[in-house]
Amino acid sequence: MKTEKSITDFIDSKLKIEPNPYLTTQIMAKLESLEHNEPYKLSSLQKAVVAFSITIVVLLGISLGTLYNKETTDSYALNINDSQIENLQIFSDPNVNTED
Amino acid sequence: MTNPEEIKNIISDILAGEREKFSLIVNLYKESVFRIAIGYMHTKDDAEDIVQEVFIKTYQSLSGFKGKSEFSTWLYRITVNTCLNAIEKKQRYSFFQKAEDTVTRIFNIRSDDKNPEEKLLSREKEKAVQDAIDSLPKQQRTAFTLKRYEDLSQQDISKIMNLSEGAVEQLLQRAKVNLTNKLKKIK
Repeated sequence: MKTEKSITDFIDSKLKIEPNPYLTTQIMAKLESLEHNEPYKLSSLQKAVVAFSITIVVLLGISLGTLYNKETTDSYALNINDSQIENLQIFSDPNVNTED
Repeated sequence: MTNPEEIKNIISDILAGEREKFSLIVNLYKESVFRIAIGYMHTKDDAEDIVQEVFIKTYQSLSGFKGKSEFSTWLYRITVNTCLNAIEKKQRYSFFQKAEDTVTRIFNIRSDDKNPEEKLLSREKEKAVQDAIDSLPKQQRTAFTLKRYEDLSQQDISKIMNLSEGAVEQLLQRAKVNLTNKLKKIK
């Protein structure tokens, strides 16, 4: 059984290899370093507070956006720096009588 | 100290905060884990990496150990899974690994060797056996490794692999046949 002998010889050669005698120390040191480097974890309450705060900020942003009124700026824009030209609102405002 | 009751007490102490007691567990099982790891990985460095990874995973999962099985069974299961994952990862870089292995083999044959041809043949035989073991299907390989490297009984292997003893026996038989067929050409 040459193949069985080859396999046995191979396994025996591997079993002769011994691990590093300081393996236990290395493992314990690694565990300690992992515990110190553990990232900060939020508790459930903290997560809820963060989510609530983000929601409030988003709603605030939406309400500030809806306060914007487009019409209030139009009439001012027409009169900026145009002292030397005619006031265009005279022509655009339907209530103003432009006829002589 | 392999009394299951003592192991459970140590685990309770570790979970209560006495982390340094984990070194007792490591000292008790590191040789066994190393033997299984070398059965899969074949090199000392890779096997030591596996041993570190296994014990770190074990420590981090310690609270999940319910005591339904023996601690050794649970630990061996973690070892087998870690080894199989490492092998899969290694196979992704197999091209570079093969190149490295070839270069290592070439330069390891010393020029002042009295029988370089014998040395070469011996290395080729070793490589052939290693390749044959590596080519076994996962379950056959696991059963083979646990049996031949750690000398576990079929009962223990069946608990680790979650199979019947009959299934384990079949796996071992098939592994033997597969290896014999692959190694027929070895002189």
